Amino acid sequence: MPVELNELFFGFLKVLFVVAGVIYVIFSVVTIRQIHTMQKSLMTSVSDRLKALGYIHLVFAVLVLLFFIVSL
Amino acid sequence: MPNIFDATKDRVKPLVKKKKSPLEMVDNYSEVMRHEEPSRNPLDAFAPKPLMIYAFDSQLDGENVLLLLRRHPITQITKFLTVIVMLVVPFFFNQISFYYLLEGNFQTAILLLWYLIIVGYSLESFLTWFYNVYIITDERIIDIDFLSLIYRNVSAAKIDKVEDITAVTSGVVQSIFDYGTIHIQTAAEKTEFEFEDVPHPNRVTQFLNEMLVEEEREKIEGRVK
Repeated sequence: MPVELNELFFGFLKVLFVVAGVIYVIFSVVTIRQIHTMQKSLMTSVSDRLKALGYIHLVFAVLVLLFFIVSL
Repeated sequence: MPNIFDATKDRVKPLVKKKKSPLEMVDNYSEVMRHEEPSRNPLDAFAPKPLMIYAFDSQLDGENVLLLLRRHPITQITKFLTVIVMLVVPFFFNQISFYYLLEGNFQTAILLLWYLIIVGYSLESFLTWFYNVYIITDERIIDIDFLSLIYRNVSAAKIDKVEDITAVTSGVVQSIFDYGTIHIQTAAEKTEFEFEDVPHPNRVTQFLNEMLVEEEREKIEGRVK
């Protein structure tokens, strides 16, 4: 494969990964929003832990997105 | 001479009777609840007299949760197996020749994205199962539905509006694991409630019938809230 075509292909692939990462971060934010709504519907003894889980999930999603942007 | 000042424990009766909590009072009229220990596990699919539910949406003053139900965990087996398969799939990425053509960073990126999708799917499945609950209180039956992350539906009906209760257990799996669907016909705005795939459907039906009888008794004795 010629060098230019190679760069174009991997550039396109990087854009795809970044777009997927952004969509995933949006999904993580929606998940947190939804956990809040669900907790209003049913408050249990694990509500705080689930909220924490949602935020950890968001942090991972953001880190992965950063990895896609920086290292690809 | 008789000792009239003898105040041993068994002779002295308390002047004021200790008031029973609503969760204890249910034992007076429900045979089902009398045999059930209060549930302390927040992940229980059949949680009688739950101690880990602090409140729910639209809860009335003095209303107490007597029974909380979720789908039987066995109904989640498909999702569980899907996650297991998805976890194993990356071990076969090496078999795809296209994977070798990619640079190291891209290979890592594919793995990261793949595992992130698994985490997201697992979390979404768990939340949908955990918050999709059916609640029986001393006043009402409540159906809280979260069919997906963006769809929410809460329906409620007073116990005295319940007209007909049917439990359906069909198939080998449902019989083995003792779960089924309970159809509740009501005279409320929502005419039919479905408690889908809940554990011990017969016990739930019996408890609902006991609640109906108690409600009738309250009406006759003029104790209706």
